[in-house]
Amino acid sequence: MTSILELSSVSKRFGGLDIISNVNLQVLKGERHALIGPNGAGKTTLFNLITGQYFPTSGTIHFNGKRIDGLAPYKVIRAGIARSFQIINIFNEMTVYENVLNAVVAKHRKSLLFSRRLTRLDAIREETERLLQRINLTPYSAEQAGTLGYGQQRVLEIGLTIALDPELVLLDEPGAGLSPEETRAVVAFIREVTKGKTLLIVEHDMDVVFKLADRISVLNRGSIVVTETPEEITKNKTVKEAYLGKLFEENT
Amino acid sequence: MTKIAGTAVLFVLGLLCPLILGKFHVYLLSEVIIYSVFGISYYLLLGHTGLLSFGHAVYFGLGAYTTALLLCKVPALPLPVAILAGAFAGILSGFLIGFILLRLTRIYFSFATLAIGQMLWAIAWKWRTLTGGDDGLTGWSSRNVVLPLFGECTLSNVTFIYYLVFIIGFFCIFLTWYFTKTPLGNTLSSIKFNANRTGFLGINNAMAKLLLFSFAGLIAGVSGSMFILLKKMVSPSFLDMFMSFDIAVISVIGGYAGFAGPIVGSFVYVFMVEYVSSLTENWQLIMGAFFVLLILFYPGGIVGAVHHFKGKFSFLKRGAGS
Repeated sequence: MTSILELSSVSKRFGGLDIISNVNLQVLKGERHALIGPNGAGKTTLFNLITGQYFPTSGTIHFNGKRIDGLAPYKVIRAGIARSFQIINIFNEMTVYENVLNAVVAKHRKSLLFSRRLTRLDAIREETERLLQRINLTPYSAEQAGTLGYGQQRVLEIGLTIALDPELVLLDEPGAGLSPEETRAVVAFIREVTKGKTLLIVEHDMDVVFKLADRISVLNRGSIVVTETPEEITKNKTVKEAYLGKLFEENT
Repeated sequence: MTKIAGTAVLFVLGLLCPLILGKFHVYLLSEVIIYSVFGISYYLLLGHTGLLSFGHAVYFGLGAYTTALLLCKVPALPLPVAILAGAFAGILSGFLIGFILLRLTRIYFSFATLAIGQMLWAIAWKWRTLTGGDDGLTGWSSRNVVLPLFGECTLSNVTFIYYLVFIIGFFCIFLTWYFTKTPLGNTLSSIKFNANRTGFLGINNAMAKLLLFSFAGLIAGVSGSMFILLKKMVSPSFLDMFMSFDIAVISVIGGYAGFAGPIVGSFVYVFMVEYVSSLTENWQLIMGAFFVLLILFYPGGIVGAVHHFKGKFSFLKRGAGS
């Protein structure tokens, strides 16, 4: 298996504080890779480093063999990575349809086009409608995204991410704030929409992680402690102590 | 459909105006149209990206000076070419200033635009050999133009200027409307609502804004070109901060939520200034009071107030229907 994303000795320092120190991480093509770790371990920072919101203090990040650290977010996205956010990040004031439309237009690199009217781009409209169908939001397409229920906003958030049709999908706590019922639906949804793609997911909910992931990396205090399959992770003593703790006891 | 019908009615009315109204009102209406076009360019920045510019007269003034200079120094140049050159000066200045100010937002943006505006005003004031300093430039209004339908007339003919302004103005407003309906127009609204997310959709926000600045510059430049034809002269006051404030005031009076705002604002502003100043020499006091009262009670401007009252009296419509 070849790796699609490769972080080599990546460190990030804020002031005198090492948030990420010497992280080496390989995400293989086609796998579902979960990133777990206690609060403040640096999971979201790692996402921000990969997608260009922050630049690493040292180390390199390669995507499909191309170096992407130091690139602006929009360039990283164009290379084929898309992400969702822990705190819902959608266009609240626009309709659900317009939200998805924005992503589809962006995917086709037509966002800066000014020689034609948007409503005249039939292929883009059809694709938007197909996507809405796929993420089950067609009945809400005319509603303002900000007025949707929390669970549906989550789905839209992930929908915007996969609408870009990226090779690598980064999901930052897609289950945050959801009821167990909603979580189950979202897990099934993620499984369905990331078929044929590579997934890197940050999640606190162990149910979600163990159901979805092919491999799990454990991040603690800015360093990767271990990368293993879910079965191996449950047996691993360091992980048990560092992170899983009581939850792990309950699950076994 | 009603919008298209309304626009068609306005268009026909606009064409008929010089046949009904006297020269003085035709002149005022020309001014209204020019301010409307200028105001719509301003609305593009303020309404579409939320950027409050205190130096929008720069694009207007550069368009004005470019056209005026060409008319003065190159008498053989056809009029349309001089206007197109004004438009191009608008695009260029919009692009350059946009490039410089791209990173700034809010008050920092506003004050930087003010500074650039005053710098250009100082250049126009001091560079006497090129711009004529505070005397400005003049002297093209006696030129003759030959038109297919009108026959021959001079550039000072108010009716001719009105039709010129009306046709170009109508086209500019149409162009701007079209611009807002393109994918780029949609992208700009998205950036206004959530610039972070548009970046993470792979959109180059900076380039989108740069295109907006260039386009707003184009429209403002054309309005400046038309203004010097109407006024028969150009002076540094065309690009000073008071001109920038005027257009900001017009936008607030009309409301900057749509195209109707700047048009209504220009109409009210031009006619109020004209009539109030003929009543009293303290006209600015009355204008100021009107402005303060308007933003106190109807921050959405006149168009916002109309929508407000429409909502209040909607029971009448429902009553009639049932």
